[in-house]
Amino acid sequence: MKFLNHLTLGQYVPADSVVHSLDPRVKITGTILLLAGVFLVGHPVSFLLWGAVCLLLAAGSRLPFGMVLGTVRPVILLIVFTSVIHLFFTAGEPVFSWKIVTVTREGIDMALRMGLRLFLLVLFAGMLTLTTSPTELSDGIEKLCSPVARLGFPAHELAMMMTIALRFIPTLLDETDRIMKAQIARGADLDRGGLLKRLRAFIPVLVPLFVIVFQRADDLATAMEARNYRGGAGRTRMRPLRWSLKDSLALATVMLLVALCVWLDRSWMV
Amino acid sequence: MSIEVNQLTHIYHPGTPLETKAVDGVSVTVDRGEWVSVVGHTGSGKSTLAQHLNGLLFPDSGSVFVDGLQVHPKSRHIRQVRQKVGLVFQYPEQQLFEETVYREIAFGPRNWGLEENEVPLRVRRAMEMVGLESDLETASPFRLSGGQKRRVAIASVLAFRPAYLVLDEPTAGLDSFGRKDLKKLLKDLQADGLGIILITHDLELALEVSDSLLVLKNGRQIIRGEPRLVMEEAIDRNLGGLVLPAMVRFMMKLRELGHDVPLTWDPAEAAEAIQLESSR
Repeated sequence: MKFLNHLTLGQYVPADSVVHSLDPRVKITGTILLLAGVFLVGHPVSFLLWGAVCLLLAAGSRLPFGMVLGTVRPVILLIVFTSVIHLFFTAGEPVFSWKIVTVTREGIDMALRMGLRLFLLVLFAGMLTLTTSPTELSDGIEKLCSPVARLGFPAHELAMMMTIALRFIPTLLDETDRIMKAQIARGADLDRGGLLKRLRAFIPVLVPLFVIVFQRADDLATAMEARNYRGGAGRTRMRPLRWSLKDSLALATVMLLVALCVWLDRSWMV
Repeated sequence: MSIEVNQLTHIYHPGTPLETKAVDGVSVTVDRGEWVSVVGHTGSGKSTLAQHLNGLLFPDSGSVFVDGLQVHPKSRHIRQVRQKVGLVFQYPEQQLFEETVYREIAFGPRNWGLEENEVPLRVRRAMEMVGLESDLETASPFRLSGGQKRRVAIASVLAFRPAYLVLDEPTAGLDSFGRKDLKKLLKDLQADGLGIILITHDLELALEVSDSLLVLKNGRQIIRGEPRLVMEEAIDRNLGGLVLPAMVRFMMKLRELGHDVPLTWDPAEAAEAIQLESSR
């Protein structure tokens, strides 16, 4: 029994594909554009269109579609919750009423739209992290932020913090697993009782974990300092980012696609 | 009354590219009052094996019985098993969380539902056993030294009086005094009738203290038996790169030079044999 084994959020899966080989800057801007596109449309056919785009991207990244869908699993509750809230609390023409519960036509409409939007949002964001390694991702963000970095924005520092945070997720999961086991071995009951009791039962796990996290952070800082790390100034890269024709084409395609989708949606909605 | 492990196999991440057989067909029996050491390198599967003994992991095939109770994910007596088999993890001082040493050590006994008036007795006895001064009861465990923290962690397991004690690399990071104290504590516990299972990469320590050894390599058992037998095997073939005790290597060298001395890891026995050989 490994206690924490099912986390796919933010996981990178290497593969030899077109999508993987794109410049991270394209993938980040492209994802932002796609997310904007998802929120700018409202017609059912538009959502189908975005679904098709997602399928195409998954095919282009050579990842099994089941794995892409898996990225939604951790947030499925959130999506359902949001939809339900919209379903019951949107004012409008009632279609169904029982005691104090009223469902309106507008409610059903909003619930479906918000649910689909969130679902697509997570799928697109998931595609980005599935096909881009954490190092590429933070390199990309750093490069994209470089115009504002000249104005004193700490782009390199933020990117480094992100890399470190991502790098330590698996390590911390292992530590959590170990501490949980140690406390279970001492008779801690972590999976019984109500919510409050369970939260209290996790104190013996959380306190040692915090101690370990601070210890590790301290050690890492010392190790970086010992190797003369002094921030981004003058730092070179082992694999510098290279923008190629392929990247320009990909970005242009995404831009056209989003523009087209939004335009079509506008004309359908009228 | 014993722990019986039969043909135990454990697979991590089954059905994925990361699939690995961490433990492969291992069998071992530990009686109460017996000391068994599991020796192997990093990645030999010894820690995985340890976690099966009190139901933190379950076998993919094979079986584990503790005093006749099967360790099984669906069994109702899993908590009973965990109370019978105390497990001290590697670097156990990292699991400390309470405000005082007293409360830290009382955590186990309270979890296992001991009468509240019994708790102080258990805590004091456990502190005595590991050699912690009673005035440390009110101290914060985070303010203690590394060695003291480890004692608190071990006391927190002893306080619920397990019948077996599994320790994963308990001497890691201890100085020679700490090692000696720990060895003595475990010997005393063994004399009181506890079954001791020591997980270690230190062949010398294992040879010195155990009734029986199990040597693992890549999840498979390569030798199982009494210390002397294991040492003889270890000389004959390479035991997954485990280092022979310096004393044994010294005696081997003497033999190579034509002296008739026994291969022993006990300095007293070695000295006696050398004296006898030189007077001849």
